Amino acid sequence: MSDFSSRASLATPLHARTAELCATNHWTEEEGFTVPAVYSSLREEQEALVTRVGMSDLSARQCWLVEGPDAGIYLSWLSITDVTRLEAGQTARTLWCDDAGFVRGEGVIVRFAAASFEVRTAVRDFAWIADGARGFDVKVTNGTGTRAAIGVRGPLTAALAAASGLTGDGTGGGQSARAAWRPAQVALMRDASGDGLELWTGADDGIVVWDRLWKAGAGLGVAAVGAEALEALRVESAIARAGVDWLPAQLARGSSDLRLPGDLGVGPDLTRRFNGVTALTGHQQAGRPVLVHLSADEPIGVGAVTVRNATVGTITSSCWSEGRGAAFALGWLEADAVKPGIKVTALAKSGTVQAEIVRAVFS
Amino acid sequence: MRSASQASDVIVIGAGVNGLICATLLAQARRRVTVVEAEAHAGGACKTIELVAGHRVSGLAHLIGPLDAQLMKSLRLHRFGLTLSAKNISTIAMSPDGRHITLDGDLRHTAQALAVHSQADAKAWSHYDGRLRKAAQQIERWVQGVPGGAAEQAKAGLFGGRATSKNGALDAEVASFIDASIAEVLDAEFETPLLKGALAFDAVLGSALPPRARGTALLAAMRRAINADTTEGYVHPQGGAGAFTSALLKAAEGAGVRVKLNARVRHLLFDNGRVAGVELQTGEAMHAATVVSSLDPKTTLLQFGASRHLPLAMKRRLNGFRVEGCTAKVNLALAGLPSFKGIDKRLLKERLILCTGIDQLERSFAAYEQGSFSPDPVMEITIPSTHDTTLSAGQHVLSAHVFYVPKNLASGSWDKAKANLMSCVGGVLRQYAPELPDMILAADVFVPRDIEAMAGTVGGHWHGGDLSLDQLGLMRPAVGLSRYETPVPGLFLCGAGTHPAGGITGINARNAASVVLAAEVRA
Amino acid sequence: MAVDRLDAVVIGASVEGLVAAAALATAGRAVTVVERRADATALGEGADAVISAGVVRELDLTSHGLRFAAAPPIVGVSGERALILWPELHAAQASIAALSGRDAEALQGFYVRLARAATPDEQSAGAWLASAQAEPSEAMLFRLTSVARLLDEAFDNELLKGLLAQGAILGTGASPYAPASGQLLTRQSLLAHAAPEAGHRFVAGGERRLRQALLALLKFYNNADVMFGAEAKEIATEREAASGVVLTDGQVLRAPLVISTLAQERAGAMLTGLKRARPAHLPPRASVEPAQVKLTIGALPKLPGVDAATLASGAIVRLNPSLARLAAAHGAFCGLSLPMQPCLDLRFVPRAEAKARWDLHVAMPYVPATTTEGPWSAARRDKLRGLMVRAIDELSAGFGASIESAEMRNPPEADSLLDIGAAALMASQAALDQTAVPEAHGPAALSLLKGLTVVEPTFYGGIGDVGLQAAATGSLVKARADA
Repeated sequence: MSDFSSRASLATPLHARTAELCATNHWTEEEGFTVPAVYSSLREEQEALVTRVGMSDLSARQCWLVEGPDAGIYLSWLSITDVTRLEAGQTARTLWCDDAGFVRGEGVIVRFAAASFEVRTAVRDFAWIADGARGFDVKVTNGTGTRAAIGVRGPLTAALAAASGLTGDGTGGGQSARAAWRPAQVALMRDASGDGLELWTGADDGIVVWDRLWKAGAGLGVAAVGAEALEALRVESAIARAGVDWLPAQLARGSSDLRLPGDLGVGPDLTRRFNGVTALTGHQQAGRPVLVHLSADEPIGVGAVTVRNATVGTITSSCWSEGRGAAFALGWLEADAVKPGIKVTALAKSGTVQAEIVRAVFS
Repeated sequence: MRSASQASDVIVIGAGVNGLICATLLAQARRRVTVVEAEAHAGGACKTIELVAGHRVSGLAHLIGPLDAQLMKSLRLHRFGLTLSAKNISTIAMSPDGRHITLDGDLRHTAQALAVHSQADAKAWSHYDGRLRKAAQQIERWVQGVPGGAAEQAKAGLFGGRATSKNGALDAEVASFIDASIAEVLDAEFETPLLKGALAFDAVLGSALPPRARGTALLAAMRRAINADTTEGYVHPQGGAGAFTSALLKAAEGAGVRVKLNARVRHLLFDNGRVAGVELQTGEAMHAATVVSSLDPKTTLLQFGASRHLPLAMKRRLNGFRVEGCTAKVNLALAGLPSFKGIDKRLLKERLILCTGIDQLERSFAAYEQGSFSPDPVMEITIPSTHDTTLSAGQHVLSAHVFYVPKNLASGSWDKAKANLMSCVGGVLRQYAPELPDMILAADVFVPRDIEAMAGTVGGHWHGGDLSLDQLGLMRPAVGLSRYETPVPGLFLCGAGTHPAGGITGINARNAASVVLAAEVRA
Repeated sequence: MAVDRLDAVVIGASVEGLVAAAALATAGRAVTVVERRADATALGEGADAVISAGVVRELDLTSHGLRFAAAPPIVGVSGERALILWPELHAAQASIAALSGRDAEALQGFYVRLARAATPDEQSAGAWLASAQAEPSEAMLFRLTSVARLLDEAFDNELLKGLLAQGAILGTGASPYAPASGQLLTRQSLLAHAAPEAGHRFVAGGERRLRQALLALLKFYNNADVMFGAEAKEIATEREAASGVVLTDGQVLRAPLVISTLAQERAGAMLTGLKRARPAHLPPRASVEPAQVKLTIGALPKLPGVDAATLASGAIVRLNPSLARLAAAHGAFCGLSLPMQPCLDLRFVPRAEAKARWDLHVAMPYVPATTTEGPWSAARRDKLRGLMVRAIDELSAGFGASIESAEMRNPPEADSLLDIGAAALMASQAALDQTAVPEAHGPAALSLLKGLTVVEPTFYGGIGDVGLQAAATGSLVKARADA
């Protein structure tokens, strides 16, 4: 209604800094938090991501703490991954299904200690993990908002990490280090693209960590990057986003919105016992729609895609890449319509645009 | 690990009626079955208790049935000592003025009885009876079968192909019962309040629903459908409900079932997500590849360690299953047989309904919903000593199901309120049999809280969970749990918390047994 | 009007009547609306009005000047706490989080379930029960389950459950524990937050603008006409079928289809020319309308956790809502008496005048049409009003003193006949379907006689939907689609 921002949105722990840096005062809202959409200009931020290094506020990510003797067993039942095999400090990127075997969420599970885990994910769904804990000796708390998360992306990511004194485990793959990085405790992990870093720290330490990185990055041309530039980079690099490119099962409006792990390129071990496995075994895998990456010379609109006037799928997200001078999009196509290199007709700002299938995202 | 003589294929938890019947049927199918019972005596809600020296009475359930003829045949209970002191027990709608209406299932008799009150109702009776019979026929398979169809039953060969109703959707009129309230159906058919009161009482008995709630018409048809294949109707065993349990126990043992009393389950045992047996409170582990629980679904699935193996959303869904009792049991020892106004003493062996009209039923419900009970409660009574002399030498016992009694009171405690409830019950009885209250030698009042303890079922509900449209069929006890199977391989349910709910019918156990055998075939 | 022969006459320029006429006009049919009053727009005094989103889509009302406002927040007040379901999801979640962090996270999933359940199921409940299908669809689950069971499964917090349940049962006699009451949660008026595209839209500028848009649409089509000051006296019949309308001034409008928005009893009474017996109408229904009072107040009450701006923004406020309290009130209703603790719905609407004054619409569900003490006399209605005011006073001391005037709208006097058109208006004004009647599966628009359709707004259809259905029932729209 009238005063949306004051009522709807929470500030992230980094709000003081991001507000200072957000010259455009253009904000957006992610899962209840207000975060900058654009700091300086979309063009500049995209350029920084392609040529130098960018820093972003990712604190709107959901963060669920699972502690107790059964923490590992519970999360191995909840998700498709046996996280009891993780060493302390290791992370696993995984997803979890509802009772009917459809994907309910995806994210990263971090093991801090034998009986202490943390789940990080993009979509709000704490009730799922809280309700499911019944019968397990665990304590599940919603830590969302109590952590600051900073994303670092771009070719100079490693240089920025080195310059700020962050080295070792965190940058080397699936590891999550608790860097003794006084005065703040920082947990470090690779982001979904595999190229960038995510730094997680307590809410109170967020500003300290941000400032330290920012200072170290001054010589590298670091830029604050808002949600819009990150979104464009995501679509350009063909990374599917929950809630945008696919709907978690609890948010699906119809059965055609439901996704199986296989649709998202994940083949769980069906001999292992996890939530939804029985139903999953019974689902047909053949003929499922395929997520594809598309490109075109002019901006692609979200909506139906046709080939010779027959609808063959839907575009779910799209972007214009300043760096590449091209439009990119992600969308679901019928399985037999997917052939790399062929053209499909998508909606454009006015009329239609011919878009080329670059590749199937999960192949 | 275990000796051959001790080995079981199936462990059944709970030696109540459903537990024992299920165990017997499985043993008859050559499975090695052990029943574990927490109490020192079998029976659950079917026990005969001593009210006071020299007076015995059925503790909770006071009538047995209607039992399926085919099921009775396969249990051969008469061979194991079951004698019936009464069968095909009729229902009498009692009137304080003595103008009772006997509903004995015979169209002509009933019409005659009704003509005393209203010629129009006497004429309308066959129409109403026909409607209900037609509805019952159509839903019979749904009521009696495994929710979601009988395909697997047929495969297992156990009672396969017993479906009687035709395929496909219900007739429009029958389907309208889903939305109709019993009160509106009766209002459209009849004018005699007493008749409408008794029929409405029978429809909602044991449901925390008022007679004007939608869907209660279907409950009336459902009761009729349960009666469909019975030859003996409601029966009373010589010696009370406990005698029925004794015969069941002997039949079970005769079929090779081992029954272990004083064996309370602490939790279930699992092996890689599959049920593997039970561990008793004593620490003793008993192994079996199949465990069938006749306990309520909430206890079975949430208290015994199975919740770690349940799908996440199902645990939440079980929250919604309503199990709070709404019926009390009153047992009275009487110095003699009281005379009821306008009724021949021979008819006192029948099931007597004390409900003068839908209004009284609604008033009772109104009080219930406000966390109290009506000063003028509705009830069903039996006086088993009129035909079973073993219960009370020379004297009499009366058993009453008092309806719309809440588990928790809005104010005050049951310890104090029980005496008040008893005096309200006495007040109602006095209207029909003025001398009765003065003949009371001893009285027991069991409210849902007591029933919870006595029958060992969470909530103390007569039917193991409210009887209503959203708690039957594929939704009993919850979506995904309705076919007697659970998501834990090897773990099954057979108690009153499964379709088609309580009443001493054995349908739950029979269906569960067929599902257990079908699951073995699949595996 | 340029046409010689009419296809349909609509009696009454209520929203439903205008929608029915508009549906026929856009389908190319010649239609005339007759309205007793001199000017239909003057009727709409309400500050806000609602219309079914489906009707807006169907008739493309936005191109005829219709604009929308956000749905009002729904506030539950209990003790010292308040819970505000803002129309914006995250704002509502933030408010719930103060009471239950878990429930805040479950809200979005529940909203999606409501939206899914609002999509009607092709299968009937009877067919489903008889089928061998293992899993019910979401719509079927809501169709058969009780409000309470659905809410108990979804949420922990009693205030949240009560807040949603009270909205669901309002205007019905159903207990939240009644089987098959679950679909009440998917009424259009409740979907404005959860699924705006399937729910009611709130019309900016209120009832007046809504009627203006509908009249503008009818004006746009030269095959449609609205006659003001034209009162129907009689429904003409020919060969036992409706053949037109006779007005009080003697004018006769001939048409093969008549759509009446008057109460069915009144429409039936207008059928004077029939040779055989008048068609029987549905039996009178028990009154399930909430008691309604309009209070004019000089100061807003101070309710804990709710600021004055929120109250004045058209918020719907429920006092101490809970499943237990609703069940108790329903219990009293079954016993034909009034509850000790009423469940109240409050809505504050600022008055268009210089001095700060508000109209407070109070609705109270589960008020029986007659009580054990007899029908509603003036004195007993005053007593009921006192009960309602006292309940507000308990939460906001001194509230009673701010009341300047009061107008009791319901329960109705025994012999008053509800004009359905006016009832639809009242519903619009209150932005709640308080006039709704739980005639779940009776047709919303019923055909009393060949050629005569009577429109009855029910809560299952949204406002305007029934008018659409009436047009379709008259089979003219369908006939054109076939051709």
